[in-house]
Amino acid sequence: MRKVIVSMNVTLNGCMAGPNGELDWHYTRWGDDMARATSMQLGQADTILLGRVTYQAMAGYWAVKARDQSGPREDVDFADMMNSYTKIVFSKTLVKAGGWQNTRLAKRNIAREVMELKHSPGRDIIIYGSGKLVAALSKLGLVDEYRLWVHPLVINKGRPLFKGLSADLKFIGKTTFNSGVVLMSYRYTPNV
Amino acid sequence: MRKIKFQMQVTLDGYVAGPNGEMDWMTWNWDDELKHYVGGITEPVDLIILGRVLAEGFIPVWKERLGSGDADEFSAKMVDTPKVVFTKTLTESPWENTTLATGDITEEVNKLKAQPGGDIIVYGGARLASAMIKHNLIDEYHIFINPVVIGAGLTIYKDLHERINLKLAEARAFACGINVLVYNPGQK
Repeated sequence: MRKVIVSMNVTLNGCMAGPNGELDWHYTRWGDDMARATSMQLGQADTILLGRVTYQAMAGYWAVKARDQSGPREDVDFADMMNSYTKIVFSKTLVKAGGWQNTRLAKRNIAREVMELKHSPGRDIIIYGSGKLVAALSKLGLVDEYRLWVHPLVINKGRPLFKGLSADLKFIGKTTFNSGVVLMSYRYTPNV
Repeated sequence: MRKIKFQMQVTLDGYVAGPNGEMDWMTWNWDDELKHYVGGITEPVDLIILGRVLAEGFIPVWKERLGSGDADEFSAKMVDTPKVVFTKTLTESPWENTTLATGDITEEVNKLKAQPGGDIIVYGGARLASAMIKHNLIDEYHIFINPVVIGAGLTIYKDLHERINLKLAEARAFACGINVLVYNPGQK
């Protein structure tokens, strides 16, 4: 069965954004080594799940990148993957997911849509950002792996990734980057 | 000057205890490598700082353990090392080998740092840790990340004005599932 993987930047205290959604701290610690690791991770996948907010933030950016082949090789490869992969957007308000190639709206409720994807043939299914979608999938126990890019900072009153969720996890590996970010991977193990 | 080390067990979502102080999420079956690693943190320590609430459990429990069949080198270290307990309520130490610090936290900590001696370690509790982090009094953070999320609970980052930047010194994974992330204070 295909794996559903949440790839999320978090602070040391488990926040995915500041109190007002601030993400500035993602960029200050980004580096080539992280870009390579992100590309390798995405290379194992073929489908991206997105919530409406993240989708709307990403669509314009990547659609433009599709026409721009001027950057470094890895960046162009990453943009190719972002654009060519199947993207599925979960939204209660959008009626159409336009403006970004290979994108469609989820047709069913989250559980049914994702279960069907997991049972269909293919590679990993990855989720970027999309805090609400991740929370819903986590509650349903549908996330197989959490890949947390733990940044070396603490944000007071930020938006917690695991709010209200209680689960034992199995640590499966880590990578340390030059900027002090540690990518920590965990497998979800349902509480019995 | 002496180094202030901070050692804390946390969940992956950054809590140090459940909403009612629950500690049932902690990994207890430490592997030998982790025990050895903790020995390395503790070895140069010759002063332990505790908050009053934690001290009330910590001090008698280690004393009892030292007197029982489970006694080992570590329990001897926990009992024999002099302690300073931070409190706003006690006026006299009810414990052996322990003095009280009742003044301003920054002044008290700086006073201890200025004295000759080895490393100083802070084990908490959550309130003292929060205050020390807020006032940037920690030189070395040893954060023990347990492989569990609990969704809500007590934090050591409560009274921060905004955010704190840290500098990663080391990240180590242990077979029992705990990761230790070591940080120094970063730029403001």
